[in-house]
Amino acid sequence: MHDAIRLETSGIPTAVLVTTVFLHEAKVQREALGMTAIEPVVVTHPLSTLSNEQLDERAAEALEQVVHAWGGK
Amino acid sequence: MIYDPRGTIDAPVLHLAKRPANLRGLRIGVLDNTKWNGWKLEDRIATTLAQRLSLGPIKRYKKESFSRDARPELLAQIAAESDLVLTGIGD
Repeated sequence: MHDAIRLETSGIPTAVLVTTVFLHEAKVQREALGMTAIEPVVVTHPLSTLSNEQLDERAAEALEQVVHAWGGK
Repeated sequence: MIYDPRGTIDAPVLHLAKRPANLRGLRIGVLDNTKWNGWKLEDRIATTLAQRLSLGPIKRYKKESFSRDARPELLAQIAAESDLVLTGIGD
């Protein structure tokens, strides 16, 4: 979250991926860092044990959220 | 006297970057946080969106460790070379 917030304050729209179990931590971090408006892109946990096919499914979960985070419609 | 051990957070308010009117042709920076499979997911998302939305080139970066912030020089480089960034936290 620190990296994303530093990039945002540098003027770069940043989509930050987080899995479901880390969403609470991400929200706590964004509040502690002062950027409550940043909305994480949330995908189902976990990632580390997934096959390529399962990663495709996770990517599909994220696509519209990433576009939204970047400011696209 | 009762003290609340949780404390309070009093950070200055930081604002999001201005969003572009149109994403077409914009350069994508992908920052790998070194978590296992993280870059694979980021790569899928970036390449799919680049094709669907006619985004600009994708450039990939890697930080030293997911447990540390990216170096300021790396973030400055990414900001200079990217219009949009995709990164990740957590597993």
